[in-house]
Amino acid sequence: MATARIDAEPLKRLLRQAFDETMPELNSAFRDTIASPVFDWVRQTKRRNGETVGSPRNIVDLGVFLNSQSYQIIAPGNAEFTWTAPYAVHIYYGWTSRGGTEVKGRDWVKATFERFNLAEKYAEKVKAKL
Amino acid sequence: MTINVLSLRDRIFTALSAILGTYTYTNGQTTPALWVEGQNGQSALREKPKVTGLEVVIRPETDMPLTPVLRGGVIDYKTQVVLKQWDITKTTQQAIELLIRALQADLEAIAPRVPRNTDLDSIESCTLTLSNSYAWLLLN
Repeated sequence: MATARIDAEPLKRLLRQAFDETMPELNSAFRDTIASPVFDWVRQTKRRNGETVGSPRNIVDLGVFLNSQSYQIIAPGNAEFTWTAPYAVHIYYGWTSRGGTEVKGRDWVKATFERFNLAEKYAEKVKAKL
Repeated sequence: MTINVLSLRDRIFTALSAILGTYTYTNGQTTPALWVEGQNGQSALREKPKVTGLEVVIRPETDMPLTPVLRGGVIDYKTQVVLKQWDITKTTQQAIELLIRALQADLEAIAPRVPRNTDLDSIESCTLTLSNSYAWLLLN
């Protein structure tokens, strides 16, 4: 009788490490998107930082929203990105002012994944470790 | 089969009649604050009235992604129901709960509530998405 056995632990460890090393790149990709002029807008705005912006524009004024971004590896192969600025949900889904102005949402997550190929980046990290 | 907007309007009105806000027109006429947005985002209302309390805006078939399948296709009709709470002392929570009960099977997603924000001077809102798929198959 013969038995064959594979110790998958080193491979699992390698995959976890590759994932952990990919997340800082995704973190940077989210920040790059938020800071990039890729979001359409309907009018000019005088920002609190003094800048006058039109369309397309980025989502950075004083940087509170941008700097509220963080992430955490919550389980092997599972990361959670959060934006804790109190108006992050307003930026994402849009809002209506009491004066009746409708501001459309800006989906920086979708915009990031249109520019950043997560699967490809992860595969690169994995290949480099094999 | 697509969602019948007038039927949907009736279902929403029945579910929320006790808590719906009010449109007040320049001539003093008032109606419940419930309206169906026209095509290209235009309002079906002749004039934009003053609104108080809970407003409901129905945006019919806002997105129709077409999914090709083998020798046929699927169109996913999506209708949005937007709740806006113009009374800053209240929320949309009760309306959401009532609509979950009233619309059940047609409901596809409920976005997180976008709360009132004093810096933005925004009102609270919440968007519910209803979905209905229409599939066809070519036979030959």
